Amino acid sequence: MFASFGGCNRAVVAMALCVLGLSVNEAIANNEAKGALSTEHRVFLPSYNLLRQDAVRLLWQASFGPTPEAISTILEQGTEGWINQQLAMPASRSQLSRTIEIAMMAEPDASWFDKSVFNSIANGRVRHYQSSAWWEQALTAPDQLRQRVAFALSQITVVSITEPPLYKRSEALAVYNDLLLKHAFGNYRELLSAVSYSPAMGVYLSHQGNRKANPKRQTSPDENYARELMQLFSIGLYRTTLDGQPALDQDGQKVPVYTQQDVMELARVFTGWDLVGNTGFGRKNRFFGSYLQPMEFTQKLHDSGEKTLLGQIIPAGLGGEQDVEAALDIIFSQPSVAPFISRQLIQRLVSSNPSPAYIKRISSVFVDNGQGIRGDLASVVKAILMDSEARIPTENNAHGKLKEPIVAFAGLLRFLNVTPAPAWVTPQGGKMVDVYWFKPLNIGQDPLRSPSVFNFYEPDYQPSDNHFQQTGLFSPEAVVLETEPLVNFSNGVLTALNSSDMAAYDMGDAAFLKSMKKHRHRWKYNVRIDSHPLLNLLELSLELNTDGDFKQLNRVQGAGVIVREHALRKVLEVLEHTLLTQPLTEEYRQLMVGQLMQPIRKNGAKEAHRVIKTMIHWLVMSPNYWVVK
Amino acid sequence: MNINRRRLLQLGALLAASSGPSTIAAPLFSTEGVSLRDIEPGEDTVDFDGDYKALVCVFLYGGNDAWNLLVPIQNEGGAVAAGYGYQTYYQRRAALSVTQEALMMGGASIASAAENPYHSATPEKAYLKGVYPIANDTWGINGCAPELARLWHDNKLAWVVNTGVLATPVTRGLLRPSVSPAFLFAHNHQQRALATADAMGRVRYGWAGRLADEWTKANIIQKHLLGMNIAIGRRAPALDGHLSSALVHRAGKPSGFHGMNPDKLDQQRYAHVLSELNNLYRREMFGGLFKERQQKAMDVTELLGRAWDETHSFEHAVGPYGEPLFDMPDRRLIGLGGDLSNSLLQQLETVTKLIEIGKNQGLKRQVFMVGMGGFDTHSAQTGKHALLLRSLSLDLWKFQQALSALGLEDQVVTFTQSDFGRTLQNNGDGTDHGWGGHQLVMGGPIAARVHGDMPDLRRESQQMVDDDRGRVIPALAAEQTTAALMHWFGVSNALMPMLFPNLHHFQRNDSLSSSYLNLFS
Repeated sequence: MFASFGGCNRAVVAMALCVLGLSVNEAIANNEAKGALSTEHRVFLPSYNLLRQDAVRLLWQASFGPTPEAISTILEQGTEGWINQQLAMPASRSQLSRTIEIAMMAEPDASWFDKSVFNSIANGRVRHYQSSAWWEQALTAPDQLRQRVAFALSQITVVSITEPPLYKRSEALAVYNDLLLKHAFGNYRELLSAVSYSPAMGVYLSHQGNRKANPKRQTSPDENYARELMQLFSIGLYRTTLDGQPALDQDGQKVPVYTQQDVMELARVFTGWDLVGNTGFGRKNRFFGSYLQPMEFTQKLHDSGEKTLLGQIIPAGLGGEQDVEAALDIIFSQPSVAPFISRQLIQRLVSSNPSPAYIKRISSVFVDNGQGIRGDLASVVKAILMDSEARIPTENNAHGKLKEPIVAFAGLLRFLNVTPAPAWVTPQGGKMVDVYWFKPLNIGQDPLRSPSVFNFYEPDYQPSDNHFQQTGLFSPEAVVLETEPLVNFSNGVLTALNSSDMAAYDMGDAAFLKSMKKHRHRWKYNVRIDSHPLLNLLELSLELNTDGDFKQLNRVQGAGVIVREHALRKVLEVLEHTLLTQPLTEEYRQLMVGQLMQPIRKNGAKEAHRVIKTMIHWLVMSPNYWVVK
Repeated sequence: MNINRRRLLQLGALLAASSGPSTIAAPLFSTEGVSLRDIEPGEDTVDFDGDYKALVCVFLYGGNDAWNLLVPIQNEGGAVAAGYGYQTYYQRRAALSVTQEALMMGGASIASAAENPYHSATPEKAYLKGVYPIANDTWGINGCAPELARLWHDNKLAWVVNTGVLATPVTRGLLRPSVSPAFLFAHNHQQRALATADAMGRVRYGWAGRLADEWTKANIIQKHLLGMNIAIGRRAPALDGHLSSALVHRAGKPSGFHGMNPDKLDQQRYAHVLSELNNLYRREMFGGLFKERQQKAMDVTELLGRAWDETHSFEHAVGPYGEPLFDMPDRRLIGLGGDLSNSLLQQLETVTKLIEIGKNQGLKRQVFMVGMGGFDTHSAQTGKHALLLRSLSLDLWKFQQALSALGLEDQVVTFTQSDFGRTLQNNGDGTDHGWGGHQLVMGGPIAARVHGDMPDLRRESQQMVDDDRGRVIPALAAEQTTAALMHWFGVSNALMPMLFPNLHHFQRNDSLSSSYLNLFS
């Protein structure tokens, strides 16, 4: 049935293209060439169609938000074509190398490669450089699907900056993110290996520096990573069938997959590993060791005895890596891995409450991608996105999800044509050129910065709310959609619109310029956006030109009322058709436009900017924006 | 009453009324003959008699190693049997043992730099240096926590020894899946067991959340925008009920929505339109939920934004180092060679503000959940735990001072919970997930007592899990503390079985109340 998505006809594409900001730019070009617009440009917003709506939906599920360009690409290539093209794209850029670039730009005099390891001086500002590199990729990388899946994986195999050395050795987070990007379309089994040897995970869950038992010193191996590897990163707590439902024993009870004994056995496997270059084994200090390379193995601190894990024997005498690989093979072969990981990937991308049938369809692909390969993430991701539960619009309450705050924020910036902040000089004397500057936004999520190994939210969070209680449905993201994150989100949106908009800059708005200058270094983030396309659309709809005077806007007598209303509706329509997965109600459109009919600012251009800003802000703080369905 | 305050009261009542009561009654759980249906709405009658009370739970996230916060210091031999004294503790903890050395308590100011026994020491050394003996020298409080020792001596602090998540009393020989709490040693499950007050994982909602549900239904507490339960910093499942969702408030003054200042007419109108637009949304439940959260955020920031600046009661109080009460003294003053996190302190300052505001708003009961992270000390424990304990001690003492300045010392009780205790055995430079541990209860009405007995810490002891790591089986259920606090809070005996479904297993006679700890003086 989805073949039809691929073969979408030219007329539909052309019609849909007309809705885009791009077409506005074309219209402007025409305008400048001819001096005036021909009447055919007056009607450039055709009816909303389901193909376009589905492209928008797909982009909220599979990227950091729709842009006019991405929508037209999907309409040209079809859903499957776009997914295939995204799956074929290599990782666009290394987050580590970008982090290093930004660090060297920001602090040209720092001795970054002391001891030939990046940041052995433990410069804490590296966390901001890493965060900026992360956001740059989310906002601009062409390999959007890979970026988004890596973000989803970062919420399953969780590491977080909260463990002290990582706060000042945040290059480890960039390395970790690169690892997730690398394996995002690879094999989950290989991902588990890479995660297990990574310095960030070693430090975060403390198998870095873990030693075999020492009876004299009364010590035994650290169980931390062993437990979370099974509980959170692979098999989960209970044996489940492929559809994610608990497999019950003959007494109707759920069956735990592993025991405390398994945790202790697995803890013995993860002994003998430490950071490369750490001069004292097990030392955990921000000044020692490399966070760029996989951890290294020391045989004499490894427990090389026989282990029994999940009923299988790992023979004595294996080397460190062989031991780890044998244990991961046993874990990965557990039947619960497929539904456990599949369900969480669906939750992160598509739906908070996938039906058992949906989970089963995806788990089956996890078990076998059709070529006998287990754990092939590319096939799993594709199946998740091509599934009817992801593609067919539905009013079913269980379907869909609330956006993750990061995705909601990135999506808006992408829509608003985000570009790097204007160059500035850092307190350390460096010049920052072409940097998307991001510190933590505190909007309920900051990437690789969750409060604990249980991520920002758990998969089974059920809000204290009538509808959710009656239906028994979950909404993990609702955990973080609380007052403080919502305030920060709303204020962050206004920062972009009030103080970062090139359109306002071009208007020479004195208040704007002042605000931009004053706040630049105190902002949590610093980028530029550009609302020109929307302003141009508004003016075209008002005056058939884009000369920037907006002189018709404030003429609200007689027919002027109709002209203003028409123009506002055009803008709202573009917002609706580019950002929303479900249409607004006519009641909503009427109320919003009606509330903006009264001019407030005398200057037409400033009034235009106020109107656009208000529409975006109201819409983005509404449920219409936050639901992906 | 000034006009602002009257306006606030009106606003609070109005907003509460507009959000509307919900009256859905589904069974919360049904086990062992206890179900919500057994307690008819309105049956529970409580007269608060015009008083105000608050409970503050300090959650030590990650599993606090309480075996090094409160140390058994008696020597074995004579009255103290083998396994129950310092020698066994020392053997089991090896390199992690705190010494028996009795430290001098400081003067009234407790811990000024000169009196701090570790001035210029490293956290690692300070951690193991010694203890402040209490309870006739049976126990010693870790030297990093001098303020806790002071609170004990001022008769405001009780210890609950070897407590934790339990469904029914068990010992090593009796430990079977049917009586063993679900997923022992897993952080999230043990946190959840504490939040729901059900070790067996059958109950879905938090104990304080269920209480809010019940008291709301029975009109015992008024409907109010702030609600009875407030979590600081992050969502706390203990406070979320079937229908009562706790307010989650940041540590610190609420930040307001830019461009929606209620004191400016145009901005107020702007915010109003946003609400009206969102109110049109009726399509489905995810959006419905967002709509409610966004509206609540706008209402709460308005209410608290106004009320915040009217609170002031402890402006002149100072901390033990002479610093303003809610400032964290700098590392030179503390002399521990490490920085203390001010996270818990900020949260507790926020709680004092919200207590004052809540009381001004006419609330009779409030429950707060604050938290402190970092207790999952798998590695570098001697350095990390020293700073955590130092900060916990200082923060709790400061909070108690603030309550005293507010004149609410007798009306607020603070207590700790933590995922679990830790293994006695060392994993190299830290400890792993254990089970039983000690908790503390603090407040004006609390008597300085140690509740519960020192367990036998020997390997073969009946109070040890049989895996040789030194995971101690708790003897007291966490609910025995919580229920005692709930009783003080005004919860009727009729409601207790619903709140604490396993509590009857810990009765010492026919009455459920015999399971409550005798915390109050």
